[in-house]
Amino acid sequence: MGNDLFNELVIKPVISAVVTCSEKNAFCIHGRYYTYGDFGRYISNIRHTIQTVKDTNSCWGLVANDDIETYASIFALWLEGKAYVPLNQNHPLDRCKNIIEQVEIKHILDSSIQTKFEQEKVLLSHTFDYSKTRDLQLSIYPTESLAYILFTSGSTGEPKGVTISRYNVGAFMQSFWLTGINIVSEDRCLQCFDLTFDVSVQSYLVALTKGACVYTVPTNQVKYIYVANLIHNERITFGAMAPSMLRYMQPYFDEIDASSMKTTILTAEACPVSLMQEWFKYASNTEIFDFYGPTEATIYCTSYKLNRISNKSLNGIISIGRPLANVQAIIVDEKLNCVPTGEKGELCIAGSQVTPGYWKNSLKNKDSFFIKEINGVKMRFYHTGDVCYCEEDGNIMYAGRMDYQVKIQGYRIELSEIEFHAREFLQGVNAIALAFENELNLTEIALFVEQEKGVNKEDLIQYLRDKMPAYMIPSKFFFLSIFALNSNDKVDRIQLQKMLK
Amino acid sequence: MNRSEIKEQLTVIFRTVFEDPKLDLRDSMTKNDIEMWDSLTYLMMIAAVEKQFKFKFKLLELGNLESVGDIINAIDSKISS
Repeated sequence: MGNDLFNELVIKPVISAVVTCSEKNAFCIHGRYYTYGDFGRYISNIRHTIQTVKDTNSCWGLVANDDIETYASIFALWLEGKAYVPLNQNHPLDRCKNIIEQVEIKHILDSSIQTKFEQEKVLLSHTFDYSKTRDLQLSIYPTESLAYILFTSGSTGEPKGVTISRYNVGAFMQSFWLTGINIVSEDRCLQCFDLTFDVSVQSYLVALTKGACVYTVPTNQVKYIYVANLIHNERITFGAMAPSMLRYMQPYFDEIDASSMKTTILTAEACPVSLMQEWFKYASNTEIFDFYGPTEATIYCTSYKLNRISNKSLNGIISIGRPLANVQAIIVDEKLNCVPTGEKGELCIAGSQVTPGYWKNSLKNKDSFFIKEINGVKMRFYHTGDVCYCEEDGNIMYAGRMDYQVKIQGYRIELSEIEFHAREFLQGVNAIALAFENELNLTEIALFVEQEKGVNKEDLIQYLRDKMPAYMIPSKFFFLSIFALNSNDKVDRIQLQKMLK
Repeated sequence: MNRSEIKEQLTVIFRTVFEDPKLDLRDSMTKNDIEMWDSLTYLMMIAAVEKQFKFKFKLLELGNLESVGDIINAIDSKISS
């Protein structure tokens, strides 16, 4: 197969599906079907336009819409050796602009009727001519060139870009298929993730590289209701979901016929045992996999296959399992020495799926990666910040975060980013963000402000909305005259947490 | 209960769940008109409606509720059936 796994496991299979099963459905978007032939036409025409544009920057912006032009743009950019940087136009424009500036993006593919971005940079893909299929010839590009850059929450208030190379994506695909999951061209596969979130890449690639059909979720829909209806009506057979979405659906499980589901992947958040037992009851034919992975290690890096009788768990949370084929996982103490089996430490990841680094962020790169020799081989490890331990049988158990990161709806959030923006608005008044579980066991964010009176809550919320996506906006606010301190003279977060009970 | 009485009670629910004490409901309002409308608040709003009007929505019914008008019509048909 050679070293170019990206071409072998991503580009070639998709182009082959366009050519050999052109009449088969590739996508169902807003209830409308597009065949692989249609998809090929869109890819080739967008590619043609890209070829006509002179741009020395290999990274292009891509407005993350839910339509055929947007998905085709990804493959068109890849066929031209370029990387895509997804921009969610429902996120604050300031945030998108910051990303565009950081990557020095010169061109943006946007399928919207009207763009929100700088006109001179934008190519409106809905205006292209899609009447005939053009060139879909494969070209060879260096495997170290980038495939995409995803921006995640950063503690300095500025989002940080995780660069993922073609080599990383190829290695991920190889690892994924070696887990034993099998997709065939008759499968109907769910893609319910925003394109700014990396599980979307798994969701469309796994289907399209096997000639199966991708069912997407329109952005204006309430996701869990739309997904439940897709599973029930469209007889979805494969899907990756965040446990919180399944929890939203839980009160309605008995109304959904989920017997068509062959494989369910739970990912992006800790996976509760009780929820899985319930899902097994209703999705009577499904296999369930718990996949774990930070964006920095390309989508997933460990997996655990659940069984219907009993499963490994810690505090009601399912094991994250064993490392994937192209992943080396170790658990280390503060001095970066591997801890004995059964002892807790930080999970660190090496191997061909690990990012080349954060985009132009040498400080963060210095902090986040380290070189360590394992079995005589020097490897570059990524600090996940997750506290784990390993069992005798090699399964890894997840025990929590080392820092103040939380996950909401699968999005990784630095609470310090919320605090940063709140303090900016409050002109230095202290603010602490904490995550808590509501009565539905879903994670929400509370913001504590160290000023009892005089803060206009509505103005504060509006300011935060202008700076951060909706999933990062606190849902509860507390205005206190003073924060209690703990014995280390730090704000006593435990006392604040108690106010949320 | 007539439609305007339903709307009145629904307004109280919307103002609480979406944390906007000045919110005035119009039939044409959708997710795009209410900033706090997301999966979580939608779930809370539906739970509050079910509690207030004492019935349960079917999941397939929820799929058709795109606007405030749709919600009022659904409540109307549920409580009069």
